[in-house]
Amino acid sequence: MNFIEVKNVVKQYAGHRALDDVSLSVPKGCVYGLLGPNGAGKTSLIRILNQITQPDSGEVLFNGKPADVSTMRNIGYLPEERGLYKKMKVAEQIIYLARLKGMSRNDAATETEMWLRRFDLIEWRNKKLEALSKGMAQKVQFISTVIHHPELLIFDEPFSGFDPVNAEQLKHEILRLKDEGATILFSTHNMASVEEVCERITLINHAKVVLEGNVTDIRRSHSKHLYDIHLCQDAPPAPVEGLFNVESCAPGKAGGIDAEIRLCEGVAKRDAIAFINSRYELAGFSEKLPTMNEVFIETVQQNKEGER
Amino acid sequence: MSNANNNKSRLSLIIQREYMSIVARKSFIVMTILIPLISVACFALPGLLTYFNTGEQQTVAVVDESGRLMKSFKNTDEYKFDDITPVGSKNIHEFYSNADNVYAVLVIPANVDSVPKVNIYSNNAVKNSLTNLVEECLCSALSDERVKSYGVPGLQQMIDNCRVDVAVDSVKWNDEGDEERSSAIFASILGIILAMLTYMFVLMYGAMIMNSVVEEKTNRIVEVIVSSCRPIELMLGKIIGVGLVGFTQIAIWVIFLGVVSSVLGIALGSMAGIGSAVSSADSAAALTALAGDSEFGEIIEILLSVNYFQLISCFILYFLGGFLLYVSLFAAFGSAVDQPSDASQFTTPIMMIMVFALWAGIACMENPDGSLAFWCSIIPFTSPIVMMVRLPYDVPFWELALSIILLFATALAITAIAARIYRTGILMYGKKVSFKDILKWIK
Repeated sequence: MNFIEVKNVVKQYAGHRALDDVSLSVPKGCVYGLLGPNGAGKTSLIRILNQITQPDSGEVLFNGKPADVSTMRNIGYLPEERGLYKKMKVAEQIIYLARLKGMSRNDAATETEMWLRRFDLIEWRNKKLEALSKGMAQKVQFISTVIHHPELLIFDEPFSGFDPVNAEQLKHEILRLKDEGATILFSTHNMASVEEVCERITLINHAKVVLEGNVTDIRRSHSKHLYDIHLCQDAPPAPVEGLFNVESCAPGKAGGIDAEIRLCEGVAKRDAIAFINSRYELAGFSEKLPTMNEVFIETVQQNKEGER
Repeated sequence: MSNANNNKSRLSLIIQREYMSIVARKSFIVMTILIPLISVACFALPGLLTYFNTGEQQTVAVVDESGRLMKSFKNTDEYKFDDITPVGSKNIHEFYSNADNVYAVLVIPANVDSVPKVNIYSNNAVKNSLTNLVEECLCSALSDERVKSYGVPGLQQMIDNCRVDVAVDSVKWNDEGDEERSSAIFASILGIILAMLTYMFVLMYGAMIMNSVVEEKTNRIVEVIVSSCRPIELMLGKIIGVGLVGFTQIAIWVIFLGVVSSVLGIALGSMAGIGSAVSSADSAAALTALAGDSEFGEIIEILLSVNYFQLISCFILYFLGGFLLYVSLFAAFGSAVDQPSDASQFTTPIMMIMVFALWAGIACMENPDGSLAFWCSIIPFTSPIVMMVRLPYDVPFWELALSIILLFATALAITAIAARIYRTGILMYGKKVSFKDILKWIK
C-alpha cells in the first residue's frame, strides 16, 4: 500500500518550471529519501505535499484519496530553514503549534511535558526561545514537528545544525517513529545518512525525476565491478587480461597488501576468487558498491551531459 | 461540520496568540499610558510655556519728546518703563550700548498727535507682547486726549455707552421645530479627534502588523504555520487579533476618561454650590439642572446636544472599515519584503494617501458641503477620516449609506487581494519585489 502517490505533477513559477511531470510513490511505513542538487525542485514538491501550494496539474493522493482538511494535521513538517517565535516560551510554543494541528489543549500539554523530558529540556519550558542555544532550539522544533503523532513526517535536512551526539539521538528518535508506523520523507544532501536510514529514494534533477528505487538496488545497478582484496604478502597482484585490472594497490595497515581490482565484463566473482586464491595468499575479498554520493554525482553529471 | 469547527478554532487560536503577543508586551502598557499623557501635554504645553515665561521683568527706556505721554505707561509684570527723555533721541544708540539691562528704547516723537507713529529700537527682534502693550497704552491715551479736546462734558461716558458688542449664537431647529443650540463646530472638532484616532491607529497598528509579518517571514516560522493552516487564516488572525488590541486600548482610555470626567464633574458641581445635589442625585440630572443661562450652562447644553449615538456608531463603522482596508495592505506589503526597511517603497504611497485624507478632513471643517468634502467622504480611502468631520453638518442619509457600503465593499475586496499577495509573498525569499511582481501575484 502506497501512502503517498504523486502523479504527473507540474508546477510552474514565473520564468521557470519547478516540477516537470514528477511522479513517485512512497510505501506506508517507509523511510524515503528525496534527493537532488540545490534548485532541483525538492522544496517545491515538499510544499505541495504539505498543502502549502497547489500543483498546476497532476495530483497527489494520500492513502489513495486526494488531500482534504484532515491531511494537513496528519503531516509533521520540519523545514530546512528552522523557525520559531523567538519571544514565545518553549512549552507555550510547542502547545500552540500542536493545537494548530488539532490537538486538544490537555493532550498537547501532556505530550509537551513528555517530549521535553525526553530531550532534557524540561527546565527550559518557561524560557523564551531566544534564550536557548541553537541545538536546543532545533530540538524544540523537532518536538513541535512530531508531537501530534502525524502519519507522515517530512524532514528537510534534519541533521544540519546538530552536533554528532544530538544527531545520533535524532536518528534514534526518527527510527523509533518509523517503528511506531510513521512514514518518513527525507529531503537531504547528506548521502551518508541516506545510506544509513533510507530504504527508497527519488533523485530529482532540473525538475524531473531521474532515479527512483530501493537504495541497495540502485547502488548495485550502478556497480563498477570494483572489489577490495587483501593479500598476506608483500608482492602486489598483477592484472590479468580478460579477468581483472588492478586499479590501486598499497601496503595494508597491518601488513600485507590492500588492492582495488575491477573485474572485466562478464567475469563471475567466484572465478576471480578462485584465480586469485590460486596465485596469492588471499585474506579478504569484498564487493565495493558505489556510495550514494557517487551515484548522485554520476547521475547528475550524466544528466548534464545528456542536456548538452 | 467538524471541518468548519476546526477552521474556526484554528482562527481563534491564531487571534489569541497575536492578541496576547502584543498585549503582554511592556511596550503596549507603556504606550497605553503615554499616548493620553502626550496628547494632553501637546494641548497644555503652549499655555504652560507662557505661564512659566513671565518670570523676568524687562526694562524699556522711553524718550518722550511729546512730554506728556510718559505717564500713560504703567509697569507690568513683564515690562518696566524708565523715562530717559533728557538723553534725547539722537543719543539713544550710545545710551543703549552703554546701559545694562535695557531691553528696548521707545521713542515718542513730539508730533505723535498728528502723525501717530512711534519707533521701538532694540538689538533683538522686539516681542509682540511689548508692541501690543505700547500700542494699547498710546491708543487709549491719545484717544482720551482727543475726546477731551472737544470740551463736551460727559463725552467719554457717551462714547462708552455707544460701544455695543453683538453676540452671534447659531440656533438650529430640530425635527420637531424646537430650538437647539448648534454644536456643529464642537461636534466636528470631536469628529476630527475621532478621525485622528482612526488615522493614528491605522498607522501604528499597520506598522505593527507589517513588522509581525516580516518577522514571521525572516524567522521562517511562517512555513511551519502555513503547513498547519491556510495563509489567509494566518493573515486574518493577525488583523483581527491586532484590531482587538486596538479596541482594548480604546476601551482602557474610555474607561479612564469616564473616571476622570466624573471626578471632574463632581468637583465642578460642588464648586457651583450644588454639591449636595450631585452627591444625592444622578450627576447627569444635576448637570442639566445647572444648564441655566450661565456660560457654564451653555457649554453643558452644547455638550448634550451632540448626536452621540450617530457619532459613536459611525466612528465604530468607519474605524473598522478603514482599519481593515489599510491594515490588510500593510500585511500584504509586509509579506513581499525580507526586512522592514525594504518596505518603505510600498508604504510611502499608503502614507501619502492617509496624509491627504487628514488634510482633506481639516479642510472640510471650513467647507463641509463643498465638492472636496463630498468626494473625499464617499471615496473609501479618505472617507473614514473626512466623513467623521462632515458628520455634524447633516450629511444626507444616502451619502452616509453609500459611503459606508463603498468602504466595506472596498475593504473586503482589498483584503481578498491582500490575501493573494500574502500567500505568495510569505514564501518568497531573497528577491527584491516590485509593484509589477505584486500585480502578477494577484492574478
